[in-house]
Amino acid sequence: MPKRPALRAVATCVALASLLGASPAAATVSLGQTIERTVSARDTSHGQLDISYADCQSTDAFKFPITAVYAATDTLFEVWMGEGVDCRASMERTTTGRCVRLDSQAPGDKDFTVTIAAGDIANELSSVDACVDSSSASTAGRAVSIYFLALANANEEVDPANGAVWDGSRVDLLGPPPPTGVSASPGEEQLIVDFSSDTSEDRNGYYVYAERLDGAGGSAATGGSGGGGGSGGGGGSGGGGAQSNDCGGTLLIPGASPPSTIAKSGEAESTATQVSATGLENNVGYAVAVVSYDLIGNVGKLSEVACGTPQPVDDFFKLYRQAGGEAGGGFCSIRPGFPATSALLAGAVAALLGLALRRRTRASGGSR
Amino acid sequence: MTPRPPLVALLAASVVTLVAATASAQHRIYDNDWRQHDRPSHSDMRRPAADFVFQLRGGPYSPEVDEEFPSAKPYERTFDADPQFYFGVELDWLPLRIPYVGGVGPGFGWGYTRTSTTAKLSDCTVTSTNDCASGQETALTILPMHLSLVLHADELMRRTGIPLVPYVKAGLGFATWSAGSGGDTATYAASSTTSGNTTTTTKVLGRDTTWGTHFALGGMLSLNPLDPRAVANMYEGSGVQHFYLFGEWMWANLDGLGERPQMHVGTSTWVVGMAIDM
Repeated sequence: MPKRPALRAVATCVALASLLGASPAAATVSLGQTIERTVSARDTSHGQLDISYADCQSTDAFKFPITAVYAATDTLFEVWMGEGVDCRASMERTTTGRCVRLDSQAPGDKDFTVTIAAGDIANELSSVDACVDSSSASTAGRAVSIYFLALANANEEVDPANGAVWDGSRVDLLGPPPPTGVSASPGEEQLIVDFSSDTSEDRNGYYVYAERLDGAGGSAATGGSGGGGGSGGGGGSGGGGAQSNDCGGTLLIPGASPPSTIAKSGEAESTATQVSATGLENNVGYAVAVVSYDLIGNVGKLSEVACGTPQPVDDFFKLYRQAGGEAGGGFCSIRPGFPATSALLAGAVAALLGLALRRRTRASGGSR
Repeated sequence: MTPRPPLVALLAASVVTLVAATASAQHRIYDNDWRQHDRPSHSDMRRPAADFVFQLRGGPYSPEVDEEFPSAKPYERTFDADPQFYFGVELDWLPLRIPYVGGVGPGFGWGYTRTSTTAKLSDCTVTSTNDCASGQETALTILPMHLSLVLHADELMRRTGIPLVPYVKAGLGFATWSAGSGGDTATYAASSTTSGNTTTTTKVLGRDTTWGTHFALGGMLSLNPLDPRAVANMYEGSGVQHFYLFGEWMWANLDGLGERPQMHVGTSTWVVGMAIDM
């Protein structure tokens, strides 16, 4: 259908006006390509710009490069955040309260950087307090949108073309749910912990914790966890020692976060249904529990607890050596006594190869 | 456990199939203009003899670890006496020809076999209610290999059309093996010395190489008569001359050569598989 000449003229005028920068009353705000973080603690390539529980608790901050062309009437530059809402609509900013203002400043340079703490972003979400997400939503994270707006006044409706939006970060403060059906079998200075789990959420693996039950200090109950970036929020642990688990221990409480006084005793990948708690002492009772951790390092809650006692086992190599076998030591343990027969055979094969090559050389070009 | 009956049955079935196929082909000769030299047995003679044979093989494998320790039987105590499954590949190069016999040359074979179970608890007596099983895995992985002199007596097939190629192999056998325990390589505290307040334990790593001899005797049954035309096309396209089923008695006599103690990880067994030559 042909356009009417009048409409075409109007469109052309608008385009020219835009090019000359004369017409629009609203500002244009654009976001640079590279978003940086002040702390880069993530040891995986996944979720580099997501916010974990550990990120929330740290001094980590996002640095957003902004380019703003202000309109003459603009008096404000503001950063807003919302979860599932469009904060360019004035109603969401002023009436519903579903958008939260993260920053506000007077219009300044054309190019500048906005720095916002990861903790500020996370803690402004509903149901999040002190980096603990008490919502019952998925543990896979919450999508947030951050809006960079140049405004003439607080009630201004912002044209979608004029405000910059960042929606490349998720706030994920919760570790995946723990596995179920946890049981422990004895091994040599270890417990083999079996469990069942689903493939839901963003599980990336498992840690196993072991609590020594005889009260003595031991490898599994000394401090300094290595890892995984903090437990994901939610209800408190069984603090104060008032609670105990089914094995009689007081440190590993099902549903609580792993205590910082116990180092993890082993880990397994997300597809595993078994993990070994190693570094234990034979003939000493332990309580063991498993937690899941996600792709950005959030550690979930402790599973139910299983009890076990490491015991000496007779593996094949032990029985072989005890029977008098003397082999072992490594693949390259070729020691004095390298077989003369082998050398002879190898020589024979080498001679055959040489003969064959010689024959083919002499017969080259002919057919057999 | 030797799978002789299935092997014999397989070979017998294949021979019957081939005889039927040959009879069918001969019947059709009367109805068309085929000449005698178009028959597969004679077309074999027009092609150069195969230089390479490739085998894909598998069979039961019972390491002879316990022959050193007939009373202690560490292997049987751990894994029972059931054989492991073995699979492997082999490439033979046949640059030399013995007139009226066949091709001769070196062959290299590589195989893999592994068994695992849960280790038994020490000092535990198995009863009807207590199997003494721990949760810890113990395993033995063996990679048997050989470098042999191989004779493929293919002149029988080339000259008569009988689709059988007997062969024999003899040479140097060797295997790397690794004993696993709890997901890692097993270790054994072989000795410990105490100096003052310090006790040093020497641990032996549970892996090593065993040397020995390798001998094998087998026969390959050519499948070409089942579909000579397809095989001819394959030959034109890729150089593959024959497809075979084969059965072989393999004696990997890996008892250790020389004076160094070595675990006896060899076996005497039947293997079957598929092969091509080109």
